[in-house]
Amino acid sequence: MSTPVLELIEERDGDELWLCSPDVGLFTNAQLPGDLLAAGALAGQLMILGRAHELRVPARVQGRVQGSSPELTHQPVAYGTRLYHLSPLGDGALDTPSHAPQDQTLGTDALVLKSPQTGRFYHRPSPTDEPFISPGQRLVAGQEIGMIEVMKTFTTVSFPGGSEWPEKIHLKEWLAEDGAEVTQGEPLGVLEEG
Amino acid sequence: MFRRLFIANRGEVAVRVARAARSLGISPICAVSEADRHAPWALAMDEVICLGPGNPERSYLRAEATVQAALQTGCAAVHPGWGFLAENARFAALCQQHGLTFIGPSPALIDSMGLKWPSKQAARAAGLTLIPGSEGLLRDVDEAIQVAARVGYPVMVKADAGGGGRGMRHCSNEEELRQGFAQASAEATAAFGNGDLFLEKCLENGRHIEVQILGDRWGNVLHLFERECSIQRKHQKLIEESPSPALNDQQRQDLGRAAAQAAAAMNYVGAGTIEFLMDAKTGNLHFMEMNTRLQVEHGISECVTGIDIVREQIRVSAGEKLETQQAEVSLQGHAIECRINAEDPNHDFRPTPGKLTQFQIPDNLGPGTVRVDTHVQQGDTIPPHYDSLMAKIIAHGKDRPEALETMRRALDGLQIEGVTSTTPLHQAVLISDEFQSGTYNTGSLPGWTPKR
Repeated sequence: MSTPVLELIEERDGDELWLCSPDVGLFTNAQLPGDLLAAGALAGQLMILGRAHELRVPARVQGRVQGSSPELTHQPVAYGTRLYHLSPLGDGALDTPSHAPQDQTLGTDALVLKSPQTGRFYHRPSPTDEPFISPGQRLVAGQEIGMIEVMKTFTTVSFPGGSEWPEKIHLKEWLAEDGAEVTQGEPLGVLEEG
Repeated sequence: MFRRLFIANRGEVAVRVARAARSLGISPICAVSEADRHAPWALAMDEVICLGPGNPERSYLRAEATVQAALQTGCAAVHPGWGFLAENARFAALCQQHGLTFIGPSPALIDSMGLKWPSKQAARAAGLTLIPGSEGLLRDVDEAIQVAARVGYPVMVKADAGGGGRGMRHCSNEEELRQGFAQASAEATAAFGNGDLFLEKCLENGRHIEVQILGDRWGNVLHLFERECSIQRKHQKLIEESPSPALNDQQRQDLGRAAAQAAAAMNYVGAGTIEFLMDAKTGNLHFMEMNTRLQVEHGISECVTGIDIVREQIRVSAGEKLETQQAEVSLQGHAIECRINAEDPNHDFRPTPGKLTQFQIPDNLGPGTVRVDTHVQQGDTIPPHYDSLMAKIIAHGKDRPEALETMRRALDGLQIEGVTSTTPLHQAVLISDEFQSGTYNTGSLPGWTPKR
């Protein structure tokens, strides 16, 4: 049986960069201070209920391990515990943000559907059903486009239609993935006339 | 006794369990999600450990991570609270497998109570009356029609593996039953991979009455009398009281004894609740289901019996004997509970997460005593990930009128701002004729008309 692999979580605060534990477990075989970590490399193991899980450095990350080694050979860690403090190497490689803020990519005149509530947004009525709508599909007023789950209660989200919107309009692309956590007013998808 | 107890839950129940643990000199350790890591209620714990992101599927519902967290924090026992993993037999078994005491009954018992027909069989074998209906699973629609003719319409067809209202159909006549049978079976096959159905007579406008049970490993079982939970909306309880105004003393003693005997026949260990439906026409009490965990509304039973259910639950799991004999359990007055939820009762109970700019519940306005079970405080933000319960107000009086008056004063003096709550609904129901006279049932919310 092959060893399962978990991806380390990248945490940035200004210029500082950490790699954090993706789960609860005992952290072992840690890389030592001074070691180089690069995207895709394996960097230690997490023992979960006695089973080893390899820890992988996520894409776009590289750096040299700073600070000191863990105090224990099996260091108990939680989800989000900082495992490695990295000093960045080279330039550019680390500065590329993984995703630009969504509003900037939209421009000022873009037509967006905004989330009416804070919660989880779903594209489909249930995991086994077809999506309510797909990119390219024409929308009419009142059409159901998705669902929001707030505190276990599901509410249908509909395209409002009306005079503020072009007569003929379709979904260009989703910005919020199926099952994404969204906040009130966050753009869910981009619409396009035609 | 345990030294450290792992609480696999959050919010109000986590705080409640921590309080019971401390009363026994046990240190409470709690699992938290990222969304709860800095929540004020987490300060009630000696230690917290983060399991994952706010989405419960990635944190509170993960059995393996929870067991690993309990092991590496040096805990000897796990209390699952209610909801999340509380009735997950696999989780209970996983705890045992790793040497942790699961605070609840055996995995096998949790499993059999989780399926509808096996739980009914077990209840009948233990001497309880079932709702009239089919003898086990139905072979085909013709058998369903025969059974319906015997017990009388309306009837309910239900999926054996059902839950959350899926695989269930209400049928008023034979034609509807033919249709409903096919639909329910197809729905259950799609949702649960099991299309088995059984049929029950539909007892409309009945009353939901449940009995609190406590059992130890030494064969002792106690009942703590009943709770009346008929004020509901879509099967969610809103107001509970103990004792039930629908039972006289004789019925109360008989029901409690029957429930305790049934639990003893199952070798029940820990806290459990047997739920009954009271037929509005005959007054008979029929077994509905057994919940193998602590219930949200346990507090009213604690008030009227003086027994700390959570403390006893932990003690019996550690192998100790129940401290009380049945003969020593007596009813002391009357208790009512209102659940204050972050929901807007005027807009179809829409959840209303947000920041609590004001949150004060007075507990000193008399004439009886008030207990407030809550995990939130002024300035908190109610996160959107979890259920909407903010607080439970429990009013205890020497009799029902005094308990009602105590609750009325607490609700009138309550100040909650920033989040819309269910308070107006409670105020309206409490002064309705049906509630005052105690003649309400599960069919309606008396006194409540939503304002638009």
